[in-house]
Amino acid sequence: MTDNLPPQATFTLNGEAYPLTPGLTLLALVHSLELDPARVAAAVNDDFYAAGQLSDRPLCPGDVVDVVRMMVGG
Amino acid sequence: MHNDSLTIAGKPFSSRLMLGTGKYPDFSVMREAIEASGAEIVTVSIRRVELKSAGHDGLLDALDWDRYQLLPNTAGCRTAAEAVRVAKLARATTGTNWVKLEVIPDARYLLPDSTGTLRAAEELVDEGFTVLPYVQPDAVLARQLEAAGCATVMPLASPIGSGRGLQNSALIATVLDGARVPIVVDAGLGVPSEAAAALEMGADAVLVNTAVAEARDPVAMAQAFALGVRAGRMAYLAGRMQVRATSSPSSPEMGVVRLPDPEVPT
Repeated sequence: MTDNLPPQATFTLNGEAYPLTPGLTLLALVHSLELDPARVAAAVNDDFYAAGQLSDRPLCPGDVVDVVRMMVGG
Repeated sequence: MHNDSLTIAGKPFSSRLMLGTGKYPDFSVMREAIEASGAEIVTVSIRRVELKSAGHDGLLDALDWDRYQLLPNTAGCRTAAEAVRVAKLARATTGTNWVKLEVIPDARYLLPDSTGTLRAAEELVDEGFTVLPYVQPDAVLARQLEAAGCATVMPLASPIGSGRGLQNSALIATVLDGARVPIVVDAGLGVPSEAAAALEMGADAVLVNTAVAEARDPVAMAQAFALGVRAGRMAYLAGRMQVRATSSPSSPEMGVVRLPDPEVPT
């Protein structure tokens, strides 16, 4: 009867699939990663959130999330 | 040299040397090198945070960013779509709408994709970005990027990080001829004389990273590049002499002390 169970909802975070906890928001995700939301920026699908302005947007199954920061480079 | 400022997207700069932040032994050397270079435009990259051990990246605290025009790049992007996404993430991360656009499908030589770069540039200009595209020294592409509204064009001297110097002079000259935006020679420069040569040709600026960061003494090399860039710019403004096929004596030809002509053997 496992065929009738709903598939585990996932979202993509920085290229990898993660199980989606009900009620998870972008801001809560960043906190759970122990990141300072003032120092990272994020995209949820094609919506972009500036450092310091990450919202409590609820994450949905299938969302593609990128969380980035500034690094050295040329 | 009064008021010989470099203007990019309406913003004046007194330095014509842009510097990258990669590959320094540590942040302290990086900070001193940037200071010694006099650079006002400093590049950074944008990367996904490490999820397993995010840790703390010190770059944000390593410099007084208010003193610099931050120039995030799209390094690592292989397609126009990736570069557009990273540019938007860069704007969200840094607050600047400037972006050094790199679309590079080729990892061995890090050569840019011309059509992908143009496509991404058009989209980013439409989105309000100040776009500084990294390209092959291709005059036709350069004119297309200008027409698309790019703030500069950045032709490569030789492959990124190679230190092989100004290998594309003849092609860069065709990019410079008739350019309507600043031309920044980027990538591959190894020593200050090559930066000077680029400025002497009429390039408006150069961007350097590895040549400084991998020097034995990065701080001294940063200063040396600053001097090279300044020398090259001054020489360009001063106007070089004409090249001759034969010699032309610098001492007067009159009044030369002579002995009788030596006998010519017959």
